[in-house]
Amino acid sequence: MRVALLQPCDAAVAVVRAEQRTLDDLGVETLCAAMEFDARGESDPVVAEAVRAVLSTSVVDPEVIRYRHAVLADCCEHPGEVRELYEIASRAARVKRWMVGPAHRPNGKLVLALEPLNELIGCLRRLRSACAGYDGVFGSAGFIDLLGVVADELDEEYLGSVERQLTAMDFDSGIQFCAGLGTGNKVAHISLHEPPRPQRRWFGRRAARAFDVVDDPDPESNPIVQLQNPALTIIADVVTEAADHVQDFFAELRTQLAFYLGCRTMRERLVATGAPVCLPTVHPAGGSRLRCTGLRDAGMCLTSAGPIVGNYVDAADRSLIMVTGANNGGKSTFLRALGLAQLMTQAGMFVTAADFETDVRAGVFTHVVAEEDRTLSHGKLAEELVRMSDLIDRMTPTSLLLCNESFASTGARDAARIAAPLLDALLDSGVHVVFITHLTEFACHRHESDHPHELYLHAERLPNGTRTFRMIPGAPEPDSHADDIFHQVFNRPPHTSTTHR
Amino acid sequence: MRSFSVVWPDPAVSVPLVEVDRDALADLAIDRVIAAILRDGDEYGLAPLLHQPVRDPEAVSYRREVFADMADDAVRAAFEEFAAGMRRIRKQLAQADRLIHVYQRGRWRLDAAADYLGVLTRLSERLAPLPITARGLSQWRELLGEHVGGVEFTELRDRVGRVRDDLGAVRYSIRITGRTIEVGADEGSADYSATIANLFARFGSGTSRSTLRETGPQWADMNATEERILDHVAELYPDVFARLDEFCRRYPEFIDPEVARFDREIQFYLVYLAFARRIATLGHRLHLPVTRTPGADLRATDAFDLALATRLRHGNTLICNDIQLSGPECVLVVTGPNQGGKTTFARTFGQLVYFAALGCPVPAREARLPLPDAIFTHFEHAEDPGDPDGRLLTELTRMRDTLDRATADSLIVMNESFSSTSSSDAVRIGTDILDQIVELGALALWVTFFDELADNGPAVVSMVATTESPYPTPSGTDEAITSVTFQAGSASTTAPSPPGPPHETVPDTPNSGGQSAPPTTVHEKSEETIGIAPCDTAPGTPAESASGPAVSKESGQTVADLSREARMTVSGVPGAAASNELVRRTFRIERRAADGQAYALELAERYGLGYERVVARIGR
Repeated sequence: MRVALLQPCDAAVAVVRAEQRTLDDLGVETLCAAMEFDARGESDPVVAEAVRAVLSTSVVDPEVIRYRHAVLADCCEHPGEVRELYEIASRAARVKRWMVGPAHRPNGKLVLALEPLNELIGCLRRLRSACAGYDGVFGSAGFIDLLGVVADELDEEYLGSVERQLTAMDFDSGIQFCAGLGTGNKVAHISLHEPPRPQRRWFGRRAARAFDVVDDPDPESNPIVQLQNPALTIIADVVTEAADHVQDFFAELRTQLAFYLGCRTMRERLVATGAPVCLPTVHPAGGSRLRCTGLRDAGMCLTSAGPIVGNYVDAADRSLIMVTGANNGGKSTFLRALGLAQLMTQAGMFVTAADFETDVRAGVFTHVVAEEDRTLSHGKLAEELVRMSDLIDRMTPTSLLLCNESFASTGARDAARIAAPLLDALLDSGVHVVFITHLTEFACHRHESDHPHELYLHAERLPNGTRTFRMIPGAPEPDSHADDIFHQVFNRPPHTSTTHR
Repeated sequence: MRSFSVVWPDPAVSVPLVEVDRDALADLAIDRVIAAILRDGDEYGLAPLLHQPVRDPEAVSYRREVFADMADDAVRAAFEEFAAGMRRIRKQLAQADRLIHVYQRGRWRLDAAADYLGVLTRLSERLAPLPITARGLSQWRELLGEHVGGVEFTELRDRVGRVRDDLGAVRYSIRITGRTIEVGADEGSADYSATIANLFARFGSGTSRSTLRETGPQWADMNATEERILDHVAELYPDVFARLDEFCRRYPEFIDPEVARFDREIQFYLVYLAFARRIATLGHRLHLPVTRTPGADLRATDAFDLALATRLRHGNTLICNDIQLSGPECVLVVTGPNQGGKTTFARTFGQLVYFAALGCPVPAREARLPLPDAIFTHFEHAEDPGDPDGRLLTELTRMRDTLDRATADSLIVMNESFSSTSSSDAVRIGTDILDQIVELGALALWVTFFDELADNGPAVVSMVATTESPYPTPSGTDEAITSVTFQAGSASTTAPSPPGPPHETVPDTPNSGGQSAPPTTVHEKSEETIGIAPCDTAPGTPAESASGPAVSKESGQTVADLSREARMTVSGVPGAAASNELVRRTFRIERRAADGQAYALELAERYGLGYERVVARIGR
C-alpha cells in the first residue's frame, strides 16, 4: 500500500540529496528544531524529523513541487481532517512490537507476532471509516490518491477474512508438517500443514510410527521445541512481516502528513512574527530566473526576537552573484537565506519572502570556511581545496554553489589566482554561484571586465557607519569597513600600526 | 592414477640441494620471510619444501614454468577453486567420522563424494581451454582428463548420483501432539505458510524472504528424537537406505592418493603467490628470475628486502637497488655509514639467490641469478659472548670452516666481519680472507667499515652507502633509515668513496627536525647510481622537516639533486591517504624554495581545480 502525498504514485522522481555539511552551513537544523513546536508551543519531534528528511532531498522536477503545493493547500484548508488522519497514523505507528516474551513456548514467536497485527488491523478499520467520511473534501491529487488506496485495498471483505484467518491460526491441538532429508539426513525442506483440528484419537488406535519424547524444561534442548520451531517460524515470520508492512504504511503516512502539518504551522508562526510567506514560483532547470523580494532567513525569523530585514534580488539571467561589503553587514545571513529558500522551494515548502521565483537546481552545495582545522593534518588552504574538489565531484552542470569567504586562508593575491579560473570553469559549465568574498580587489577587477551575466551586490553601509543588512546592487567598494567594527568594539579608531597589514 | 609431482620433474629421482644452515636463514631473514609466507598456518606441510632450495636447473625451471603459467589469473583461479573444494571435502569427511548414527555418517560421506566428483570434473573442465605451457601443469591436465574420463571415476559418479537422487526424493510427514511424535507418509497437503503469505500479499508481505529462507541445522549431529525420526523414515524407505549402506561399504576411501598429493603440492605455488600479492599490494612486485649461465653477468634490477617488505606500512614504499657483476667480478664490497641500509642490501642479495633456487619469483624487477651449491653467512652478532680476542677467534674459526667447505659455486655473505679487532689488524685479516675468496672464485658480498677492502683488483666491486638527504629518523625501527645510495664501480677505475673512514665523514643519522643536513656526497664520476635503501618513514614526519627552516638551502643541494632525491624518497603510493600525499608534495615544494603564489596555484592544480580539469569534471 502506497502513500503518495509527496509525489505522484509510480513516478520515479529525480532528487538530489544535500550533504549534511551543507545542511549545517545553511542552518537547516535551526529551522527544523524551530518547526518541532506548533503555534501553541507543543512539541512533536515527528514533525521536525519529517521536515529534516524532506528538506534534505531536493526535488528537481517542477511538476512534483506543484503537486506538493496542491497537497499543502488542502492541508491549510482542511486542518481538522488532516489532523484526524495524522492522529490515526500516529497511534498505529506507536503500536508496540514485542521482541521478547514467551518465546520458550513452542508457538511463542507466533503469539508475539499475532497480537500487534490484530491491533494494527483495528487501526486500518479506523482509517477506512475516517476516509469514507471525507469523500469530496480534498482537491489535491495526493489526497485523492490516498482516499482511493484506502477504499480499494481495505474493503470490509478483506479485513474480515484477515481477522478470521488470524483467529484460526492456533496450534494448540498440535502441528503437522511434511519434510525431506537435508544435510546429514536431518529434517529439512519443511512444508507446514493447516492447524489440525482436535482429535479424539487418544482414546482410539495409536499410530504405528508414533513415540513419546521425554520433555525437557529447557527450551534450548527441548526436542519438541527444536522440531516444531522451524515450521512455526515460517508463518511467524510472515505474520511479523505483515505487521511490519502495515506499520510501515502508517509510519509513512504519519511522516508525510507531519511534513505538511509542519509547513502549515510554520506559516502560522511566521505570519505572527510579521515575516512575509509565499509559495514560490518554480521554473524548470537550465535557466537563470532567480528573483525575490523580502527574502529572509526562515530559521532566524522563527528564533530571533527582533524584526528581520528582507532582501530584494533580481538575478534573472545572471549566473554569478558576487557579494562584497561591510563585515557584519548581513552577507552570511543573506547567503543562508538564499540557500535555505532554494532548498525549501525544492522541498515544496513555503518560503520566507514576499515573492520568490527560481529555477530548480540539481542540488545546493556550500563552500564555507570551517572555523577550525579539524583534522590538523592539512593546512587550512589545503582543506579548503580538498573540500572544493570534493564538491566538484558531486556537482552537475545545473547545481547551485554557495561560497562564503572561500580561500580566505591564503593571501588575497593567491586566493584570486585560484578563484578566477575556478569561477570561470564553474560558470562555463552551467553551475550557478553565489560568491561572498572579502577579496574586494578581485571583485572590483572582475566587475570592471565585461561579465554581463554577473550580479554584484554589496552589504549596505550608511555614511554614518550603520549597517542596514541589505544587499544592494552596485560596484564593489574596495574597503571592508573593519575600522567601523573596531571602533564599535573599542570605542576608538585603530592605531595606524594595527591597521597596517 | 600414475605417480606425479608438480614440484619435482621426476618424483622418483632426488635432486641436489643448496646447502643453507640455520644461521644463514636467520642472518638473511629468510626464516622471517618463510614465516610470512606461511602466515595462515602450514596445514599442507610446506615448510620442508620452502627450506629446500635446489641446485638442479631442471627442477628449478620446472617450477618456474608453473609459476609463469600461474601468473594468468584464470589458471590460478582454477587451482584455487580446486584447493578450496578439497579443503571442504576434508572437512566433510572429518565431520562424518565424528557422527554416530550410521545413516548420518553415510550421508555426509556420500555428499563429500559428490563434492569430490564435482571438484575434479570442474577442474578438468576449467583447465581444458586454458593457455597452459608448463610441463608440470600440462601433464597434470592430461592425467586428470584421463582419470575423470576413466571407468572407475564414471562408475563412482553414477552410483553417488543415484543414491543422492533417491534420498532427495524422500518425503514424510511429522505430526506433533503434546509429547507424541508420529512419523508417516507424505499425504500431499497444501502448504499452509503459502496460504498465509498469500493472504498478506496485499501488505507487500510473504513471498520474498520468509518462505524462501531455509537455514541449515545448528548442529551436525542429532539428538535422540531426531535419530528416532530418521529410523522411522528409514523404515518407510528401506530400499533407499540400503543403497546408502552399500555405497559406504564399497567406497571407504574415494580420494585418489595422487589427487591428494597434487592438492598439497599445488599449495606451494598458491601460498607463495598469495604472499607475493600481499607484497604487491604494498607497492612491490616479485618477478621470476632466470638462471645465470657460466660467463654471463649476474644482475638484479630494483631489488628489495623481502623481510622489510612484509612489514611495510601502507603508503610507504621501499627504495630498490640494482646489482650487477660482470666478467671477472665476483665480490661486492659494501662500505658506508651506520644505519645506511647496508645490512638490508646484504639480505636482499642472499634472498634473491635463495628464492631463485626455490624456483620462486624473487624481489626484483628482473634478475639473472646463479644456483649455488651452498649459501654461507658471516654476520656479526651483538650477543656473541666473550672478550674481543675470543670473538675474533670464533669468527676466524667459522671463517676457516666456511672457506674449507666453500667452492667456486658457493655464495658467501658477510656483514661487518672482524670489527672486534683493531682497524689495521682487521684490514690485514680482511684483505687476506678476501684474497682467499677471490682465489676460490666464490661469489661473495661483504659489508664492512673498511674501505681498504674495496680496492682489491678486478674481481672486487665497491659499493658505497651514501647519506643523501636529511630525512628524520623514524622511531621504533632498527632497519635502514636514511636514504642511501649505493654507488657501484670497479674500484680500480673509480674514486671509491670519500676520503677517510666513512663513519667519520658522515654524521650520525640526522635528527627529526631535519636540521643537521649531512654533507652531500655527489659522485661526479660514478658509473652507475644504483638506487637507495629503504626509508621506513612514518607518514607525517616529513611535514615536520618540511616546516623546518629551508633545509635545501643549508645543505646546498641543487635542484637536480632534489628531484632525484624526491624520486628516491619514501613516497605515497597511489590511493594512499590524501594527507600522506599532501605531505609528500608539500615537502617537495618546500625544498624547491618556490614562492608562495606558485605554491598555492600548484596546490590548486593538484586538487584538480584548474580551469580545464573543473570543466571536465563537472561535465563528465
